[in-house]
Amino acid sequence: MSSARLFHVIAAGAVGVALMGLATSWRSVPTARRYARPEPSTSAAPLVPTYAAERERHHDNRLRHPGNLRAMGADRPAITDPSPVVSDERWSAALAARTQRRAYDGAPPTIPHPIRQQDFPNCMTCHGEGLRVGAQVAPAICHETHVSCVQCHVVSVDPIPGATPDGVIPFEDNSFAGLTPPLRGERAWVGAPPTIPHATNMRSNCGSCHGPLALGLRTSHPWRQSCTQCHAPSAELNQRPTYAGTPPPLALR
Amino acid sequence: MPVAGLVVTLTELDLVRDEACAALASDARITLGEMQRGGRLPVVLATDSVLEEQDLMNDVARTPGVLLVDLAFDDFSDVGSSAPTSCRQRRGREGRMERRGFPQGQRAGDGHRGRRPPRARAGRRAPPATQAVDPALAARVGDVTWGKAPCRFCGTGCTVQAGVRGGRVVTIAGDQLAPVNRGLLCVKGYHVGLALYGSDRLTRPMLKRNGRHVPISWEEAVDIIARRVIAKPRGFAFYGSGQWTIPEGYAAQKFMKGGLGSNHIDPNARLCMASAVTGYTSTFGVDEPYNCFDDLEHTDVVILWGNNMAEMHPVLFSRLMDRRSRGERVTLVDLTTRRTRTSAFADHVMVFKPHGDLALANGIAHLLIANNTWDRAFVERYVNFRKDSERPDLNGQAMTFEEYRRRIARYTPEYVETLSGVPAAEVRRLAGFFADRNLKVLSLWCMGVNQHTRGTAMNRLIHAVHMLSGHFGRPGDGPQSLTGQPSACGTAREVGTIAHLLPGGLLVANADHRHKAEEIWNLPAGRINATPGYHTVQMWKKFSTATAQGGDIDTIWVQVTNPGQSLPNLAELFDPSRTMADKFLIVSDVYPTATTRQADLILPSAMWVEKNGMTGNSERRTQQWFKMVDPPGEARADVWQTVAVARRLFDLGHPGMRDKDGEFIFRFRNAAGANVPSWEYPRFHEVNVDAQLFEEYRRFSRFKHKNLAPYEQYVSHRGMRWPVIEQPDGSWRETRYRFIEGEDPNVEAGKRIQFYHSVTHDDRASLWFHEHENPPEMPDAQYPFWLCTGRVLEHWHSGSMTMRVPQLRRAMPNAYVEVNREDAERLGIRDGDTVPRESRRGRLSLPAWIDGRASPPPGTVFVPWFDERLLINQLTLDAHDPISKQPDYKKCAVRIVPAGTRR
Repeated sequence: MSSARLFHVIAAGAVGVALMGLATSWRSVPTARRYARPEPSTSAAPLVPTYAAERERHHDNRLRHPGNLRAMGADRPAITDPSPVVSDERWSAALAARTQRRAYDGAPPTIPHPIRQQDFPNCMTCHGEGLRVGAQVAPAICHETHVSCVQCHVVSVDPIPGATPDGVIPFEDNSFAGLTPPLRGERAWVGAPPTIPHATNMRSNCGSCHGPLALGLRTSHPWRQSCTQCHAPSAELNQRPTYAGTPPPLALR
Repeated sequence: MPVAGLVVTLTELDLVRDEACAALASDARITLGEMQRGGRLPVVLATDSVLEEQDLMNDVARTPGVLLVDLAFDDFSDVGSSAPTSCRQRRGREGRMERRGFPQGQRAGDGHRGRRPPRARAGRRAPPATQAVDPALAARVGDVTWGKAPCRFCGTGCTVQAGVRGGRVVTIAGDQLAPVNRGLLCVKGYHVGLALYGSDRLTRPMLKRNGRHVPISWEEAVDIIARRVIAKPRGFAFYGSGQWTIPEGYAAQKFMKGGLGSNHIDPNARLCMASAVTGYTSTFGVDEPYNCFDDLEHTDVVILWGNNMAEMHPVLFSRLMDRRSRGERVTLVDLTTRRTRTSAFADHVMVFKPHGDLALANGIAHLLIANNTWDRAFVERYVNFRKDSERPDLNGQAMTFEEYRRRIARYTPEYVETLSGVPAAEVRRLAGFFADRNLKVLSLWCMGVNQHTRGTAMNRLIHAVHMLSGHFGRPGDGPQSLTGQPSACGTAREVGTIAHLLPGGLLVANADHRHKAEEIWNLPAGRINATPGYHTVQMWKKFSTATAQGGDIDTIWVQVTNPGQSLPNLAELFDPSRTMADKFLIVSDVYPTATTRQADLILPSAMWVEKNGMTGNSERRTQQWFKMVDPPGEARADVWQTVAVARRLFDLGHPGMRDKDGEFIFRFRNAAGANVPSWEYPRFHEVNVDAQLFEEYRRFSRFKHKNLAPYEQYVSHRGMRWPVIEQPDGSWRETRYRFIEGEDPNVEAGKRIQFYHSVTHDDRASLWFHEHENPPEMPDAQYPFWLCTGRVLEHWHSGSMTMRVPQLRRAMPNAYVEVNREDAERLGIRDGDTVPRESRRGRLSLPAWIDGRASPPPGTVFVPWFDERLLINQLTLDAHDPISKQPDYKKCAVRIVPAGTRR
């Protein structure tokens, strides 16, 4: 057995144990116990834990409690962590995965998990700064916040109760073939910083896709924060030139 | 398929499982892209989490020759064994993918599919992956041609940039310089390009013969229509749309009113904004909002009158709510009949009983008067009071302020509470916003107010509370109606494709107006019929009534809309005609719809950027775009269809198709001034037919001060708001606020505000009084629930376009009935249960969603109407507003028949 394989086995095993631990811990701490008022007990109900005990328990579970957002946040790699070079393989696979969630490169990705449909879900809890949720990555929002996330991002799973993906009668297919993500940016010479091969409109936070959480498109130097200092965006992709002869919108009083 | 057993892991987002798979497979990993190119027979190992990625898996399943194996790790003890011990194939899931993903031909040759077990091969590594995505589809600078176009869907009029490569739309971006949307779109807008590529586009004219649609030639189709028209010109009606482009609507308008001398032309906009039109005309003497979307940036308090803006006008909603992100204070007051996504953002949610809006508006007016917080100066200078005549009509009769004061006095907050269900304290709060002159108050409304049996009255009352309180005229301070269709304003209202209108706001009943139109069209005097034609409900009722019983409409040509789904009370207005031998339905559309399926003749149309076009949004902004891609098959632009039929009639000798000089009424000239026969399709694209029709139409626009700029101005702008006035330096200046001095050049100096189309001819607007009234049908013991219908974010109009966009369809796959939790518990309904519902007019079973996308109050259910398979308009009422003739889709009585208790 190669050492890499051994490592993988151990890593996978460790995560499995952690998950089992989580399941056990959930079962052992019923909510009623946490919030019950201490009363002169006539039954054999356990006493409410002290704040100290609670803090202790919290600390204990912190690192293996995926429901604990703060813990998950702490689990986020720091930008100063060593950042291994991404393999071509993983890079192209990440692009392929991107493609699956979008009608075309630049379309708002669909939401791959169920959401609360009524009002507006608390998307920013996970997508504000980005998180690793179990083995999945919730990328940080890549554009300035607009209030209504679900105005552009719609679910691709569990839309409404009892829905089949095609509804009652399947509709015909769609032959739209959208642009897929761009390939590598251009380098003026070997070693030159590549240009940005995609539009940067609605992609102002480069770290969303290229930060330490990203597996496939990760930059090798996440600690450098001013990306466009070296990587030039494209004026054309960013709609900077106007189409033939178009003046900017009228300046009105 | 030479090589079997290559293993592909699709677990790239999942580090642990990916590595586990790699360990299992140990030797061969190639990527999807390579698999697609290689022509080999790969095996796909997929873990649970990846199988959840339906897009990805559908793509995998579509790839010819892929064996898909669900590699579900039940526990991690499997990791490390040399072969996947818990491999199993997901038959159900795979079966669905196979059905959807594989074309018939490929399926036959794929004998191994689903049977061959995954086999890990030892010792050889697959070549390293290169690109996972097809490089041929990747964007490169310079190889996509971009062009501007307004979005195809709603009345907001966002400008999109459509990217075209190889003759197909391949990408969409929000136009960053567009004043309406500033680079942002909603989910429909981002996917508007996909609406062109549903695989069941209509591509050939089809005639119904012996109950089946068979393809015919365009020549034949045009000839059939022309011969039906010439046989009985008065029995022919045109049913159009607020989705018609301006030149399309103008061509149809001229063909009907100028050519056939018939006014039987009405748009589907009758069903969505007719009450706004009558509200504006009877208040200000001229249609359409005086203000514009700039209000969203200036206002302090927004009152939404039954408008779920977060889902229906999402881009405008962001424009408003993004101000909060910038630290500004915007108070949102949601007057609604159910709690929606918009309510979640609102500072104050006031849930009122259906028709309670009349009481609320009167309650505001009462408090303004009673507390002496009304704007005496504004009212004395700019307003006349008006009330309904004996029979409600557009003009009504004058009333004195004293009478107004006396009659409004009964609408105390407590009385309003009993009528509307909104607590008196909330009514006081609402009136308080209007009482504070320092606030800027913006009222917005759309279908909730317009689709209302008292729609005209409600429109007038909203204008009234604004004028009574003086909240009028400043940016951000006024009443503004929104529209639902891309050119409800531009085409239906401005071109006037309505039974009683001529272009530019002129009236068929007015001799002077008819004369003006005949002059522009160079027609002999008296050609235009003075009697208004049938409005929508009348038109379809006549079509569905046997000729012998007075159903004098026997042919209807439908363009760009779907009445077989959108009309109310379908069983009475639409279905009967389909069994009458002499009634002939012609439909121009892009996809099969509830209407085309019932049509006698189907004409395949070009859509959106497959043709030149112009539309006008709800802030009077006229936009233009050029054709960017070819329509599929034999699909042709609607404007060509209309002109070709007119030309065929000309050739058959119909006198109406000739002008005063005996020339054909549609004339197109090339740059050299020579006539071009644009009705011959090979020559249709030789000149810009749109530009020439628009230049002719533009002459109408000055009569009612709706001045339009030359076509070229719209080419170089992302829309301009009329009136657009030429400046001394030759430039063209748009108008943000009409009737306001300094903004609107038509206002005389010193007048400050001048309603220069005043119905009373004294530059004053009309401030209307209306009593509260109960709706025509209310829940009772037999039918105890209110039924409200409407839209959802993902789907637009009848869903014929958006239901063909996979991303939108997956997010909202079918119609449902939204039920309040209390009602659900009482009736024993669970989420997803199929619930039959009945009204006096029909019955429909729908899946239930308890407090679904929104939550209706007890006793109310809501159903979206986009799903042609679950037609809710079989249940709705065709009762309509007496003045605007717009039906009320928002309220009727139904009963729910829970399973097991069916009668």
